Amino acid sequence: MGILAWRNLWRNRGRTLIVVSAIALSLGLMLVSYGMTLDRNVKMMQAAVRSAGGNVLVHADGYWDARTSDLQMPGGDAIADRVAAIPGVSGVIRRVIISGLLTSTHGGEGAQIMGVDLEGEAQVYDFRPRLVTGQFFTADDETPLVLGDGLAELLDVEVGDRVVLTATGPDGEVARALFHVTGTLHTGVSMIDDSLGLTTVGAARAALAMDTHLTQIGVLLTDDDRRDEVDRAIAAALDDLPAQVEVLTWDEAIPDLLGFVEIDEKFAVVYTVVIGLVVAFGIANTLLMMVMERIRELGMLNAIGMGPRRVAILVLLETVLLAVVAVTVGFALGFAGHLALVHWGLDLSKLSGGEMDIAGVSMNDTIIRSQFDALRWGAATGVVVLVILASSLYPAWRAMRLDPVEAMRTYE
Amino acid sequence: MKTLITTVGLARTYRQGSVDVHALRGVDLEVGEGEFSALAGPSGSGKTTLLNLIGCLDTPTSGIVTVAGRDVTRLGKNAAAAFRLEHIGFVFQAYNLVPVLTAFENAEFTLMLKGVAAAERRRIVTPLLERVGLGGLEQRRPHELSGGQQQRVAVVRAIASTPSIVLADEPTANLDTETSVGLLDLMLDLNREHGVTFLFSTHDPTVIGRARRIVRLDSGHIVGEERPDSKG
Ligand SMILES: Nc1ncnc2c1ncn2[C@@H]1O[C@H](COP(=O)(O)OP(=O)(O)O)[C@@H](O)[C@H]1O
Ligand SMILES: [Mg+2]
Repeated sequence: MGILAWRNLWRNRGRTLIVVSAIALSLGLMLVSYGMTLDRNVKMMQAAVRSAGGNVLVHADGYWDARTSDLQMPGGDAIADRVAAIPGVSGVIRRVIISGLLTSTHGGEGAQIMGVDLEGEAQVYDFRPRLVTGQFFTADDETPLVLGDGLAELLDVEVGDRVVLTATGPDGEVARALFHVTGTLHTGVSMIDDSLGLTTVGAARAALAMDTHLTQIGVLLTDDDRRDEVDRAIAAALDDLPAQVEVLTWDEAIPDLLGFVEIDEKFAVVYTVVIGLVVAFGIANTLLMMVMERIRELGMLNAIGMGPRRVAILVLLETVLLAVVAVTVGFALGFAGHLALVHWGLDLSKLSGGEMDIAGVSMNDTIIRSQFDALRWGAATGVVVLVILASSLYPAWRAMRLDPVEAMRTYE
Repeated sequence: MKTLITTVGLARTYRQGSVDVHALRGVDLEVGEGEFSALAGPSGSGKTTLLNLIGCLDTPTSGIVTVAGRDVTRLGKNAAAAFRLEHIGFVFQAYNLVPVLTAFENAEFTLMLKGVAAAERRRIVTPLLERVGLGGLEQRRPHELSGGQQQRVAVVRAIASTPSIVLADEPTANLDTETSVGLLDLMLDLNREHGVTFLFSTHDPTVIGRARRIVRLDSGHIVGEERPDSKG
């Protein structure tokens, strides 16, 4: 019976090949698109964490909306130490961020001066290789400043020049501080290169007459999926502070991005359903044709003693074989596409012309590759198999119901 | 002689739109074991209808059919198929064979349906194919065989599973006279050698001449019966 089913399948070789390749191509494309989507989403989330500055952020209450430099957390170092001890936290990054006016002898520009620990920052983004001229902080310079190259150009300053920062401190007083330009850097993201200045945590604090204040604690987690849980744990642990803090996960901080990822995933579901319907329709049609064409023969087989159940089994068996061939080829195609993408990648920056930014998050890795997602791949393949089998039920039922006398008379 | 088939008052009326077509109008027939009988009659006389009823392919409007001692008048679809597989061999006028299967695979099909093991099937079918003159052609597909050869494969398939009776509905209708006679002689030989009971229909006088018993049908009635061989 297996042999019979197999040969029946290839009776109309052209048609079977068309159906098989249609299913295989659809499945292959679907799998490749899953791989690419997952890769892009993972990269987007990584970019989002990078852009936010951690999986979870801790600020003085209201800072994230206002972004003003008077909102600082007093006793920031102690808070950071407490956060670091919370389970699920793998590291903390201390930042002092000052939004203010930077003036040189040639004029003034709005700037964001970040007092950072370069080694700590490297856990989310390593600034050090981005240095273009000069050098980063050295022990003997108490007010170093490394400017984005765009900002340096706007201010018309170079290494060795002095600039003055004017900003409001936590006491509400406007303060001025002198910095030495020790270097310039280039991240490739113009928004950053045109506004960022890096200094040490100490120098930034000194500029606004702060002691152990911090603006932001970037919290790194061992598992990003548990960010909501850890977020609550941190909030609970810091509940007793005299000055309230806000604790945000990266997706709370950059809500648009997660929305983008979710839309992307919904689209993948829609895509799967559409392909499923196309496959179902194509298959049901072909299988029905395969049955109707053979009415006479199936009637004859029924007459010589092949019962309705076995006739239906024959049709189902033909379908199973079709499904196995199509899905195997499709899976192979999908996997080949996946491997090709892993190897060569698809450079999206060529399509979008250099910089890429999704929901305000810049993607510094614009080459989309593919990531294997066993669950989705398995589910998609399973869905296709089920769809094929389901679409054979009606033809099989028709074959089962056929009356041998009628069947043999019909095409006499 | 043991009676194999009995029909009592067998009638079959087809409804065609609003018109009733009386294909059979009360047929009483007995067929004994080992007979080699012909149903003769013009086209439309009810030969196919009668064979279909005896072969459990159709249900009569009224009357009773018993085959091998069993009332088969109202069997369900699955039961009827199982009964056919067990007791009845079929040879049809045309399209007997599955085009994607070889002569051998077609011939062993009923045995396969009965669950006979491959080696046993080979042991049974090979000599039969040899016997009907198809030795060496086992691996051919139906389209590589002549019409007469195809019908021989169908005959082998029908007798391979040792049914109680072989029903053949105009088995020679698509064959030339010489080939028809050849096929009939082969069936007659198998009837003698293996004791296979045959009941076939035809309207071809040459073929009718080969039968040991001739039942004449017309307009759904049995209108006569002859036994050319039997003296008295
Ligand atoms: N399924 C059917 N529907 C309507 N009429 C039928 C059907 N089958 C057979 N008949 C009619 O019944 C009569 C007997 O047909 P049939 O048994 O095929 O005769 P034969 O085989 O002797 O040519 C014919 O008049 C035929 O037209
Ligand atoms: Mg007929």
